[in-house]
Amino acid sequence: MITHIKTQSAFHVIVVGAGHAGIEAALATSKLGLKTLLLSINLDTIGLLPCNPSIGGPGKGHLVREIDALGGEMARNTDETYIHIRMLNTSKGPAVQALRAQVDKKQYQFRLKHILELQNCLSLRQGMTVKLITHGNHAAGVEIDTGERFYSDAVIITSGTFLNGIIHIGEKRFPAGRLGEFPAIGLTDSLKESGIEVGRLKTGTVARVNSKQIDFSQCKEQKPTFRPLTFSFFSKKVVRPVQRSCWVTHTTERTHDIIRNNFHRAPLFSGQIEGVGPRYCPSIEDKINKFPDRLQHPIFLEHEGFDTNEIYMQGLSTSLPIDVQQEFINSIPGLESVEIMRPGYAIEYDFVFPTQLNPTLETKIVANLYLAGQINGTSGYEEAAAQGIVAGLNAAASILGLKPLIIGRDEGYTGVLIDDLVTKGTNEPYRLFTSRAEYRLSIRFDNSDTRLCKYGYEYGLLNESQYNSILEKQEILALEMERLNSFHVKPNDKPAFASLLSKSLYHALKSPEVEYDSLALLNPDFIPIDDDEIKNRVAIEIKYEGYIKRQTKQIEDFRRFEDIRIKSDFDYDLLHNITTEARLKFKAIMPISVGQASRISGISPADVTTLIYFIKREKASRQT
Amino acid sequence: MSTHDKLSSAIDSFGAPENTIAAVASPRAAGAIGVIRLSGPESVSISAKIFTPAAKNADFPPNPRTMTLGFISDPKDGRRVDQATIVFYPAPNSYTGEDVIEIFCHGGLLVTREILDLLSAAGASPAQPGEFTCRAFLNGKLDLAQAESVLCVVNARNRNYLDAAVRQLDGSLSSPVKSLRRKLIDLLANIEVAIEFSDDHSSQFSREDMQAIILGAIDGLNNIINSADSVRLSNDSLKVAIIGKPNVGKSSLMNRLLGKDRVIVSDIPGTTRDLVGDYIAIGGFDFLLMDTAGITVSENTIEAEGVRRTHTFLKSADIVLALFDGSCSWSSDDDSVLEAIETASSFCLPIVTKYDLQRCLDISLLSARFASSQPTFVSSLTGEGLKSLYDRLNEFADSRSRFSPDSIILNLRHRSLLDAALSSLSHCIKNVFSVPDDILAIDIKEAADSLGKITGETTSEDVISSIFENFCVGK
Repeated sequence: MITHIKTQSAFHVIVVGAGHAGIEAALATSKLGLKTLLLSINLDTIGLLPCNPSIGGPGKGHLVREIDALGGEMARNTDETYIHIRMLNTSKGPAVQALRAQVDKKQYQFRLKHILELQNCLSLRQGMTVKLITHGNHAAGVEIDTGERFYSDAVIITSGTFLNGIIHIGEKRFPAGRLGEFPAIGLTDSLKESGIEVGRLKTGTVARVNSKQIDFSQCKEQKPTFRPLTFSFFSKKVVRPVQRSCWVTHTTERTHDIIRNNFHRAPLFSGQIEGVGPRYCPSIEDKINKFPDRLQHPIFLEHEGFDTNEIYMQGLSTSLPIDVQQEFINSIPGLESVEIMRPGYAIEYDFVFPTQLNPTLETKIVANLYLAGQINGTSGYEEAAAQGIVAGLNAAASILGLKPLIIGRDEGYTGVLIDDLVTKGTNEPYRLFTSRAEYRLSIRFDNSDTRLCKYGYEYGLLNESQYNSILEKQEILALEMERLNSFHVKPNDKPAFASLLSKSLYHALKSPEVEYDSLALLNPDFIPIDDDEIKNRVAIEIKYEGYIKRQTKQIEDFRRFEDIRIKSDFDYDLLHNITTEARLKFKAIMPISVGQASRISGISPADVTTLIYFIKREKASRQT
Repeated sequence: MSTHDKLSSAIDSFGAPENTIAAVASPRAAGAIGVIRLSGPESVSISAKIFTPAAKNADFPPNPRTMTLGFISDPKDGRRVDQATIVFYPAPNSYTGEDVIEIFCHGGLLVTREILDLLSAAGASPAQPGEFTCRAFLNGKLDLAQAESVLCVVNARNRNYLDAAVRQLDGSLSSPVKSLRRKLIDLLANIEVAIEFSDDHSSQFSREDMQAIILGAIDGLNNIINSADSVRLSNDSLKVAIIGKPNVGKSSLMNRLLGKDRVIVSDIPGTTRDLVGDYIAIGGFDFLLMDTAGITVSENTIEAEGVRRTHTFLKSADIVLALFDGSCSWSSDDDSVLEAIETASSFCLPIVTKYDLQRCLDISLLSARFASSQPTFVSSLTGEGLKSLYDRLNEFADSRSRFSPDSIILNLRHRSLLDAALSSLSHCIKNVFSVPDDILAIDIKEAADSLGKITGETTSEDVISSIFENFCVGK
């Protein structure tokens, strides 16, 4: 018989796992004054970036800004530790522009660890969680590998790739959470015992090599832009003086031949891997198999930090045997003499089908149990962190008796992400794309702060002065738009602007040829504002005013269905004319609104019409 | 407005679900029998207020699905309104799935109207168009496709339309819409892959390429809409103008064709002074027969007005039956008839009347004028030649309404979605050279979304799948 070590400690919240989801969750609950325990298998790998050392990009970068507006840490941590930053998609339009930063992998981690250590109400503890403790259908705490038990009002599991993790490198396979780390054994069984269904996913990463062995003269350099760019609204807008370039090379026909000749040794093709991998981040063997006509694939060489020579080779994710990895890497221009420092590998892990969650990220079966990050089938640091802060705020809200935080698809990518997960589920690692958002012109990178800061302030993660500084900026923006209306285009010697004569500058800015900075040419009395962010916002709001208004109208229509709420005890058996399949889906997802119900895959407009009818009928009968 | 919005507002416009609704179910015209239908929980109690069974001690409600004779009377003063029979269909074994009462009274607008008013006074709400079918759908008696096809079948006025309506259920609308949508999705995937994976990809399409693709899609949409419009037009009753000089026998032919004395007939020329119309079905097609005032040069202002109306109607007629009196020789009025036909663009059938009388008309004049169409000889008195007239009308109607096997019938929902897609693409094409990728994608996605609502597909998922199928992405 196992004797459990009794512990006195009782917590409000226990967070299992200290990756990007766990960190945001634990910071959120502890900042709200709730006694929080953050458990990690290894305290030296807190906040690790096990794949590419970069944060942001379209969609993902939007999430980072939203986390910032909610009062999270990811944006600030990136601003403090980046080694290369630039704005992507500047030519592709206002909705899809976003920052992407390469960060110093170690600085990124250490800063996060220190932030956690400094945080009041937060205890950090090394230990592998082996069991979820429940009382009835409530989560009550966890047990760790030492036999210690910790009790709490809520448990948030953010297990990443650790649940029954198995690493594949060629024919070799072994249990691990990540390369060089223990897997989490036991917790999956405990979740299953509570009635939660799990599946299996696969992801992977690339080999790392030493920069001293790279011939950079054969690669194309991508220099940093050295502009004062930051993710966080609250970071100082300064240029980091020392940054690192990124380098571009490409695979060759010889690379492809080497890989093709070894397909039979690839775990992906031999059937050794059962988990489903991400389509958007295929391994190099997968790309060569699927697109045999491509003669080369681009490879981006990225520094992992200032104090290391390790180079991340974006585009070369693989689980081929090490000898094959070494051979094909050396067939790439610039990499002829590199030696592998760490091999690339694939990892399989357990995940929970996310349709078992409410939009608060609480499981439907076990109350007070919240899940966030890769355990919900997502991939990406940013996707994990966004879920982490939402899970943390909702666990806190439930303990403190506040209303739950459910962000709409029209309010932010965080809302799109969570709604997709809990409504549609996923059977591959889910990544956020901007095209997943219906209203992406309205939920832009540049307006994230104004969109979501109200929640950050309401729940208490943003203080009064932070909140006011965002509102202030909003006011400056409004005043600037007004000011543009009071200046008019004067006669000038630019024939291109002749048609704009005597129109307001506001109107002039709508023309595709006119940028904010050219307004002074149209009226010499106009003195431009000295704030790049405001300039950018003003230009977007005015140039695309027609489209934005149209989308606002669509959002109003969308809201009508979001606002027809469905009670959790609604009796779907009343809907006798819908198919059994539709009824089972409604019962399983338990949508909170007609809008959510309509997004369940396989639900037809007829099913939704019937649902609305019976909801109205029930309301009507309750009133009489 | 989205489909859901439409469905929801349709439901909003219907009464509260627990209401009992009533409507006249037979056509709103004079006929032998009028039918009034009640549906809802109060059907029995409401109808009991106005219906008294003829047999003493008869049960009410009567046995399900049997006819009971009785009287409709006004509960206020006991005044009898009509003799009627009543049938009770208890829930859930009725058309709507609710308690249904059907009252069969004597036809006539006034009687049915009055009975409906009595039912309203007794507590029934007037049903909105489609509300019975909507309730049938909501109570699981029909699925949405069936509900839509019921409306199509109810509206079908010719057998070719009916064929197309039935074919539609097999998805003949879906395939052209799907292939159009596919093109838009591929275009979107091209734009999106360059947005999401900007490091590895730039769009394969120039703006000129995009313009060409969008213009192609606009053409495709217009084709679908136009072909559907022609089908819809062909479903209207064919308008048949019966013209000729005064006293040529237009009204007699009209009455003969209708099989009843619809128009006053006399030997006095100019008896018909206005347009007189009625419907007739021949071989599965609906015709609107229109008797007209005789064409002549007249001093009489009323008669002249009648002639003017004849000319106006000729312009919109699908078929002209040009009547020539076989028992008289050619006259100047006959010339006027030929002149009148010149201005009409419709299909023209020359008809020689009064076949039962001695022929005096020189038909070579007609043969010269109607080279492609030999005159039909008829006698409205004996009925001779009518069979061949029916055949020719039928033949024409069939050829007019025959459309290609992939012709499409649009219901209102489909039509408005196609219009929405068209308007998104028209907006897109205006800005194709002046806006960035993400803005351009808004209109294209909107168009694809509208088409997706017809075919039941969702755009976001399809675009993402298309990216992974067609592009090598991945960092």
